[in-house]
Amino acid sequence: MSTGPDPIAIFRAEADELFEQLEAVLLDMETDPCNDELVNTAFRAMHTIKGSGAMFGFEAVASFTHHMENAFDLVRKGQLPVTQALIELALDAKDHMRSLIEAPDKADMELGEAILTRLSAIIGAKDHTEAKPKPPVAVAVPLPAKPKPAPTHHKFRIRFRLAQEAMKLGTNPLPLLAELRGLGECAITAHLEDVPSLDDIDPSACYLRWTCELITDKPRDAIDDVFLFVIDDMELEVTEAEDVVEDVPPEPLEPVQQKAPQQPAKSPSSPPEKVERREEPGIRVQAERLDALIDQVGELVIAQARLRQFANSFNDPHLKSLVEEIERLSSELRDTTMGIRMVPIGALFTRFRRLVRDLSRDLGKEIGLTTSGEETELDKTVIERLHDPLIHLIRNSLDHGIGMPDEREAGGKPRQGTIHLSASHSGPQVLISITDDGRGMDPARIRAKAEETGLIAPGAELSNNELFHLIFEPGFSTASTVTNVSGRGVGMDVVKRTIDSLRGSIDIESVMGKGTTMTLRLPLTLAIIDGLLVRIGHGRYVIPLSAVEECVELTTQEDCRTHGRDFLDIRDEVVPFLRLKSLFNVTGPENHYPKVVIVSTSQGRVGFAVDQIIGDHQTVIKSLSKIHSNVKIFSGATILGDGSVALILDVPRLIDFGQVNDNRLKSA
Amino acid sequence: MTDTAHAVVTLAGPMTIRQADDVATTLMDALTQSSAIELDFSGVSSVDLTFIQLLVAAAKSAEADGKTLTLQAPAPACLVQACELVGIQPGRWTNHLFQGRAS
Repeated sequence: MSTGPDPIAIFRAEADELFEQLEAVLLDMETDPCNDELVNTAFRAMHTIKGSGAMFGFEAVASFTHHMENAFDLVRKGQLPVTQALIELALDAKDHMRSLIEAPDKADMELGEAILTRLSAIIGAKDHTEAKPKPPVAVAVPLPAKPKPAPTHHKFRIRFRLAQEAMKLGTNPLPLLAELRGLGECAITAHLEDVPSLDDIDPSACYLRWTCELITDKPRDAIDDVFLFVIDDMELEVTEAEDVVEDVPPEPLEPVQQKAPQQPAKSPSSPPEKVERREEPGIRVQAERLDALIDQVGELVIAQARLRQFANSFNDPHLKSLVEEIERLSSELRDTTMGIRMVPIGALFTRFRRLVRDLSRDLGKEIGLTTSGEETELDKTVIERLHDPLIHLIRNSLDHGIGMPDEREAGGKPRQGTIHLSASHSGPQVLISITDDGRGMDPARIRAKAEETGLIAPGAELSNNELFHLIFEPGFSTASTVTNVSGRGVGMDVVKRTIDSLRGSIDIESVMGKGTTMTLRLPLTLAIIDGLLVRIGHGRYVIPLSAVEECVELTTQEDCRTHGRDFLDIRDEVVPFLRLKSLFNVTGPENHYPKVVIVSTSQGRVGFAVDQIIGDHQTVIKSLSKIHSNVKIFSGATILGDGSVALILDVPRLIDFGQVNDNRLKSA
Repeated sequence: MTDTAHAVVTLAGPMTIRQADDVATTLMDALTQSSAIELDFSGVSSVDLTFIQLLVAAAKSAEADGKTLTLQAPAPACLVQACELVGIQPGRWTNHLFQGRAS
């Protein structure tokens, strides 16, 4: 086996992708049971899992998948209808296959047996219904069969050679050849010239070359599809010889070596061409290497900032232009490196389709999941960490938001509820929202519950938005019955904590009877942020620029007018502010002209009074050491151009801290 | 070359990419030690392309050294099918794969 990363790990990663694809396809099939393309995709996914499973020693997976593959082959041939039961079974089988690969020792063999028994029941049953192909057993109404264009036969000359490594990577050429033969009348000749003598042979490399004459009614895409999974690095040349009218008996096959020199006169639409790669060839890179790269780029950005500061103290135009050049390059390098880590969020969304489907069934509700903005890209780490919070939010919508079908109908809504997941860019942030068309949140009920549990004082003045955010408090749940979906009051506080740790925020909009939208605002990346550099006393601090709305001066009159109650009047809106100097116990010369940085948070606008605003600063975030891990109000530190350290403020935590401090002062 | 060595190579069980290295060694040994090799594949249960390639490679080696490779027992069904699937026709390096066939 080749050296390098553990091939089994690669196999697992690839199998994971295939499983996700398979699941998505199966779910699509539920609504569109007559779509041949879906069936083919499912079949191919199983086929690949089986092949590479056997290759990497997952015999159990291979033999189990073999049965599923056979079943879908029958479906492909129109001998087995797509039914709800079959999809259900395939989904269970997919789960079982995954557990066989993830933990072969722990997998439940009896479960596998049970699935196979169900499978043979389904396949057995079709014998009775075979008279009618695709009978309307499926829950979804089968679409009327697409009128197929009258079959025209094409004659293709195909020359191909697999990559030498192909068999080592798990490809078995025999099924490919069988599939090719399955397309129509097919004469395949293997060319053995390149096979070396026994002394020189690499027993697992592929030396054969093939030529093939194929007469088929299928489009040439079908040929490409055969080689779909091995197309990288293989040589494939498909030439359409000429159209063969259906009734004309196929001509005797010419010697294959003779290359078709004539241009197909009758079909200019399909000139001979080299098969294009389906997608840009990519490589897999271990995440640690990417992380190391990011670290190094971070160091470079810091060094470059120091260089700039140093160069500014000289008046040398050459040095300056050099520094500017390096600055440009390092910022481009930073953007490129960040780009490498970006992955589209679509894969994450797909995982929730199954969740919604299974849970809504468990709860006896009819709920559809729609998504948009799947192509929105986010840092890989952020996406991974979003998985759990999104599950909680979706479960919450499913359980509390959307009512039972009858209840919905009584309220004049369609029986089927909808949850919409969307993602979009908004400046340096990504917005992910979960919208349901359910009951909406009841502020009165939340208030009652919060008062009962002592979260808020009875009669406390809270806006609806503030009330809604109470659901993120630990132990808060308005559900009167605990279901296995949600209602235990754990989860929502986890959501908030995770989003906070990602330097994101949550907005809630909810209208009673209409539905709820939860919007997560997340930074594009975790490693580098744009910050506003401020001075408090002699220390310097960074406020994440994404939160900053504006900066105002705190004049003495203004300060006196509010009688030290720390409120500002900004365009007739009262904004509370925190004096960071006293909050941090910073001593230093009294500043008579403090500035206030206004930040926006989920709880409204808050100001931070600082001594001086220095300017914007590209901040490479360094995490604090373990000794400082209990310092909650700073999310990290950064190194400035002169080599000194500035702390990065964690805005939501800082506000919480300020409120606690404030309350303590008031009660004292 | 003396005709002292007349070897029979008997292979059985699955003959796939997993066994390819061993099969190559077995065939190599037989070809270095003997000048006429008879192959007995009647116990072979499954084959893939690697096996066919090895047999072709062995035929090339044998040809170069003036040795002979013959198939003793009829080829097992799996080998016949695989040859058909791959598109192997009787020829210079493949005749030994077709010996002993009914047709």
